[in-house]
Amino acid sequence: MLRLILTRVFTTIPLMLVITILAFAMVQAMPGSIAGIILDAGATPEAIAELEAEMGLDRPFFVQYLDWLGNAVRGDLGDSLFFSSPVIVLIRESWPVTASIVLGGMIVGVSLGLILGIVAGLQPGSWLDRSSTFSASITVALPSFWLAMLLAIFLGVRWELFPVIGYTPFSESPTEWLRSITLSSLAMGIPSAALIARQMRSSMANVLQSSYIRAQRAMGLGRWQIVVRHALKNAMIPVVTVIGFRLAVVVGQAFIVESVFFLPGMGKQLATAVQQQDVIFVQGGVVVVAAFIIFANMFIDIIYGLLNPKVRVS
Amino acid sequence: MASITSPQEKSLSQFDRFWQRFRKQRMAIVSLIFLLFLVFVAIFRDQLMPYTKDSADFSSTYCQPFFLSNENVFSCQNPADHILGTDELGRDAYSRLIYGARISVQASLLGVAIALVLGLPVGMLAGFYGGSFDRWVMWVVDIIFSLPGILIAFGVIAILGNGLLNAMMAVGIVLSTRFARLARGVVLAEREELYVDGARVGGLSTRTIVFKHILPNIAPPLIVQTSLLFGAVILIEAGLSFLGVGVPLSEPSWGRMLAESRTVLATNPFLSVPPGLAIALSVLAWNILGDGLRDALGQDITSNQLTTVARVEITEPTNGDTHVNQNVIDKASLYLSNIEVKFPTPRGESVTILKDINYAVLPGKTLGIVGESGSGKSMSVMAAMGIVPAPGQITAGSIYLNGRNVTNLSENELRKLRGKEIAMIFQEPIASLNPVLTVGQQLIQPIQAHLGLSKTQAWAKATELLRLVQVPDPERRMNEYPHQFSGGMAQRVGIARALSCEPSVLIADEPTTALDVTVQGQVIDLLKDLQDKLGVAIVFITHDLGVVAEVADRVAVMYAGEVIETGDVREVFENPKHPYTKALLETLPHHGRGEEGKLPVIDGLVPPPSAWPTGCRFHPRCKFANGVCSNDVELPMKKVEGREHYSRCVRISEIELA
Repeated sequence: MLRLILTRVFTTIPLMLVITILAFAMVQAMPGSIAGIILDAGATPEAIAELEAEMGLDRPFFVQYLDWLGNAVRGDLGDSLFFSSPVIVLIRESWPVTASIVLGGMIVGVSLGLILGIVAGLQPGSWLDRSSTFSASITVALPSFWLAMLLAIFLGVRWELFPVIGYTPFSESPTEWLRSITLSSLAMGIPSAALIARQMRSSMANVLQSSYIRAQRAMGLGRWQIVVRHALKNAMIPVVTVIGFRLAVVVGQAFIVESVFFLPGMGKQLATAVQQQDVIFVQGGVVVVAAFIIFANMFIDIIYGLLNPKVRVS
Repeated sequence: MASITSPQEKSLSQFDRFWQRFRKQRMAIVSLIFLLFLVFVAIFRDQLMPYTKDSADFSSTYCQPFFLSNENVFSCQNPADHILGTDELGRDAYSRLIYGARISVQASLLGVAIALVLGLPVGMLAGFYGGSFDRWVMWVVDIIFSLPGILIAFGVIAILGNGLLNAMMAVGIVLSTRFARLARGVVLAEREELYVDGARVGGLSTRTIVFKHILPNIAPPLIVQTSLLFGAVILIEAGLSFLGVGVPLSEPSWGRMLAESRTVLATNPFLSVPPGLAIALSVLAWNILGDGLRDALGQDITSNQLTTVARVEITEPTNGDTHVNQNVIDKASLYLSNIEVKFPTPRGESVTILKDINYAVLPGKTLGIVGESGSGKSMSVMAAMGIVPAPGQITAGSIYLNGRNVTNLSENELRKLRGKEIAMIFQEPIASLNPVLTVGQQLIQPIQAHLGLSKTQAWAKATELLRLVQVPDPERRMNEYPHQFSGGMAQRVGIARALSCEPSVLIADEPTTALDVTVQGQVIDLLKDLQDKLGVAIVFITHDLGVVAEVADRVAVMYAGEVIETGDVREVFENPKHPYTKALLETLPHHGRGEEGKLPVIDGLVPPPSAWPTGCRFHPRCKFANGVCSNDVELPMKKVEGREHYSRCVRISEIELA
């Protein structure tokens, strides 16, 4: 097990290198140059070349990359072109907001999804299965940001249960923090729950068809003992992978949903930066979010190893 | 398991079968019609829009559609002018919705096309060439796949600039990883398949392999995935436009309309409904279509090993003929009397899978059951254990376990007998063990449940059992997982599990078929040895007559759901009284070879239950058959004069088999 953890930690290093190279190359691949963006459209080629030399942009690609990487490791992702402030300072303000609703969305999605999926998977074809599959296929199709707007209309504006605008930091008031992220968490969690439920259902149904389940039944084990002690752990294995993939989707949804509730998260910053061609900020954002996903996936892989002895015991 | 394919369905081409299954799914058909309608709207957009997207009517801004009119909201001056109301500039919501439909259709076609063109070749090449090329390519694909799509889209759009084409380029890149992974998986699996290797050896070109072997297999999952991906593209496009980085801000795509309605959510909530619903419905339609396609192309999972069918009172058929000696019945550990098993078909009829099954096994003795695949051997023992897979069920007959009639016991009462009085070992030893629990963890469960031992006591007993079945180093092996066992060792674990609660009957369902020959011998010796020690009665199912000759005292030969010959094993093998038994014996290697030195085979296959012939079920394949054999009458077992030997052959007295 320790070996699995160590290997998994070790393999994140090349992953991060590839991400940083891609993110760095992204800026280089841009038609025109950063100097061209900083200076106005009317700038002379000489002026651009001069600024490029000043910024070190005329050096070879890998020299620039290593230079940039060295700074990035120390937490310096450069200065935003549009927000005129260091990228890392901006992200440090916005990321907790996005991370809060991602966490909330995942908790809603995983807990609700697993319960519904197990119940449906135990009796495929039953009315319970059909109704949960039916509602799952509907909710999975809802754009999370539209669901967010509907929740805002009903739970926010009409019944005034939750605020529809703004974010309260956890450090200020934990309960208000919870209230301020509830609607976003639900908006992202409900479609995720539907998807996880579908996966859990088919995984459970498949496991229940396997020969070792028949063997346990032939040994006279009770139905619940078979489900809880034999089927559940096996059925969870493929679902854990799905939950890992889902995390990336939820992060993407968070970028959009947060702007429904005017939360000061990373999505709004990134979208503005994209519109303004602030490639330095986009680059930094991509690296930070990718690092988060990679580390989260590392933990999910370790959980996978805990469930699946074939990975753990070689 | 035991799914029933009717003969009509079998004869259909692949596409016809797909279509038959697809058209039953009303929701998928409705979705398809809805999507075609969307395409129609997109094409005839300009004819369908009552106003242009920008025609502002300042006299009726924020007017609500007629069906929402009440004193609290502004209704349009002339409700018929704006059936879905207007926005802050008095622009017609209905016209803008239609305008957005074309953007949505264009965007989804573009995004999916780019994803296909980028992803498919990459995945297929990686799968086809394998090795380090595959590893590197898929490593990068997996990295991109693991990141939020919208994040990558941000990066791409930041470089290329805003606009629908650029946004869809970004979406295409993101989603191409799904196609790459799918294509690679399928190609890799096909490449491993023997026939592709065979095709290569046969000198076929790569092109032929791709088009003849790989494409037909990749098509079904690809069609399903494409359908689901359309939904994904629509969602991402709407999200990007919502954030203002997709289509130009002046274009009313559904995502833009939602973004604009957000600012007036409190005062004019209805503005968000039409575009939101339009997105949700198109995604839903693609998803339902994808699911429908998957169901039509894939397999059914609506029953499982735990599914039980509502029990009905099972009675002895009045016309049953018992061909088991009364002395045997009185002492038998297990006795099946006139068992009949039926399965319902999808059309609401039922098909008889087993009929008139009679056999018994004495304590310490072995009954061999032989027959080809599909003869009903395994089903008969599942009936004996009361675990006929749903939706099948026993419809007639009686089961006696140690003299007690257990036929109509409840599931719970039966459960207490399973493992305790009658236990089973299976054909695939590793698959019959739970892969995520250690051998010890799963061995102790039945011991605790049936014998009421504590965990420590059960663990000690299980360790002893492993020693009994000659697993070396049992203390260590108790803590290992099934995948760490060889097939032979796993089967020993299976035997230990089956014997753990000291049952009086052990059912062995082809326990050696999946093992290699030397291990087969060891497992058979072990079973015989344990039988001598424990006095357990064994029902041994196999298609290998050599094994039966070695282990069994009596034999029952099954064909197409019936026992067709039964008797003392030596008597039956030396003096078969049914042409089928005779034919089976001739396929044994040491029984001499045919004219060209080949092993004789029985032509044809066991017919499926829905296609069993009238009269003798073997007659279409029998070289002794004449008109009598196909007469539509029940053929009873006939006793061979003076011996405990029965045969169902109607011409038994006329033909010479020896």
